[in-house]
Amino acid sequence: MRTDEDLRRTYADLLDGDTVDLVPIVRDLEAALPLRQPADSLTTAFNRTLAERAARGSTARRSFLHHFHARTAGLGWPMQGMSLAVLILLLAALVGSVAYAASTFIRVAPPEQPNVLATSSPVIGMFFPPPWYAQYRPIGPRRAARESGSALAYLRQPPAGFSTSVWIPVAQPLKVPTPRPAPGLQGISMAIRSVVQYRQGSHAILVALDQPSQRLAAKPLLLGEHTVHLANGHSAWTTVIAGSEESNMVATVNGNYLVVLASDLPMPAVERLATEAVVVPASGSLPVRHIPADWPPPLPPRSPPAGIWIRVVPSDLHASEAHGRLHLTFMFSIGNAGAAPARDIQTAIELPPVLARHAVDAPPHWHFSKLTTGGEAGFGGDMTVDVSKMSRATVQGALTRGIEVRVAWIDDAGNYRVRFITFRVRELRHFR
Amino acid sequence: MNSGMALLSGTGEAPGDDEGALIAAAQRDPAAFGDIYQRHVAQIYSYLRVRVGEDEAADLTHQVFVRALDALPRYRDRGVPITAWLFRIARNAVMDTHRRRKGTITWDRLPEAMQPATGDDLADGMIQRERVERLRQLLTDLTPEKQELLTLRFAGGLTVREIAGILGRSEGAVKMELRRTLHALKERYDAD
Repeated sequence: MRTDEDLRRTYADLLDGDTVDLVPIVRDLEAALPLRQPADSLTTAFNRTLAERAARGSTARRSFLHHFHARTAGLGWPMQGMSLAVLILLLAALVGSVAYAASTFIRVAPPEQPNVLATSSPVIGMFFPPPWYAQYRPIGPRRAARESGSALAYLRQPPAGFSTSVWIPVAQPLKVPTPRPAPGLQGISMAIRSVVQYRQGSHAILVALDQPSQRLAAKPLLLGEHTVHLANGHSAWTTVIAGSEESNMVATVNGNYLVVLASDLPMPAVERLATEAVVVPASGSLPVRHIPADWPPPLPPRSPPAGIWIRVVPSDLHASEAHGRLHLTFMFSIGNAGAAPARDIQTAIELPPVLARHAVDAPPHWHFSKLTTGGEAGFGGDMTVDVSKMSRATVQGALTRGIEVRVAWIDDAGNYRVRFITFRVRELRHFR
Repeated sequence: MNSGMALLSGTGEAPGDDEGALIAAAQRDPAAFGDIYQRHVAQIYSYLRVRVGEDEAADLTHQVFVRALDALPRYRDRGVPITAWLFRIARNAVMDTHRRRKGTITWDRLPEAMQPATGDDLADGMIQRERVERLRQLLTDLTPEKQELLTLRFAGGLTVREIAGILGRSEGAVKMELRRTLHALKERYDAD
């Protein structure tokens, strides 16, 4: 804590000559209105803007090459070439070190430990089984890994008679990193790299490869209800999720990844299959294959990407007196003008907290869309708020003045954008 | 000096170069604007965090610096320091945001933004937390002009002279207004 003397020095232009002791209130004002550093990713984003500007104007590039030539002019062309090679090697080393720094080593919290919930991040129930929108392709896992470049886990020897299909999500994060998530969920994020599904009749085995964000993995992960030791000597963690079709789950750790098996088969069989799991590392060198240290970022460098447009049209806002409901109806469209590559985009629409507490279904509202080059997609939706316990003035205010909602979307490169739009009765509003 | 974009970091120390030289370098080479960004980003972000809330502060901070970057070739030092110039851009951005939100049921960020984000800042624990919470309530009762002054002085970390430059008022008037506000806050604070 800063001393009184320190505060008096800092705020001398305010405090000098005053007979009243204002130091305590100044101290509390410093705490209430703190000077804060933004997240590093904001700087990263701005760096990209600077780089774009420099490249566009080519001033910086000229300047850099000019300086390089000036410094090496006296060396003759072989030495100049060597200097350039050294420079490229240094840059490559820098990129390599960034990628290395982004890697995560997972620590596991033993479920048998007392008060384990207080010291760990429980993940299985939150991030598994795979989401409902998973789309499996009937191809072999090795081919899927080769074609996608994504990391993938599969069974070396699946049970005989089971068919195989693979889902590799393009939009990786499971949660849109909204800037202000619910308390306790800040930075809780997990990427599903792949899910391989083995199916025979009514039986299924799912093998998922998940990767926690660094912030999630900063605490030991709680991966199951019980620790078990597999036949291959590795530790695993088991959970039975009642009500799930694939209720028996076995989780293991493989480097930076979690391998999670889920099946309706008996637990001993699932444990045995867990020893057959093989992890194919990512073959793509794209940075999107990693979860960066600062993920989720606060904002993208530039979005939507060139050629992508998004439009949310609040088409209607009305209250139903009889049912005590407030309805926000919207149309939502998203398109690719053809200049941008195909990509997956997830969108969430959220009510302001004062209304979200009374939402009939749990916000945010999610939409998933795959944009092909030159394609367009549209959705309609309705957010309903139970206003029966809200003051009439608030409801009237909403209808006469409008309601601001937050729209967050994230693309498959991990960039996201947040926009606020206002629902007004019969008002159309677009944003880019 | 052109330190290069790769050297930027969110928590780096402000360079000690003369600001005029930095501006001149950035006007020749956009990459050199990184030094100006690094020197002022925390002040601008902290100010915006209070004025528009955490949700939009990062986005708006980015916009402020992009606008500044765009306008930099036209920047001439006519006695307005770069700090004041950046804060003027930030204030305009805040006004645009508030105009957009006017009359709507909003996310109501201000009270939340005024709370320290982590418990680390509250070394004295619960007691100071309660005091800050009470102060936060009192702050929301102030006029927007007084809130602005306090935000510029504390979250923005600006001196009275710098604030006067931004607001186009005399240094004495700003000092008087800030002092009155502190006295009024203290009286109400002690009376509770």
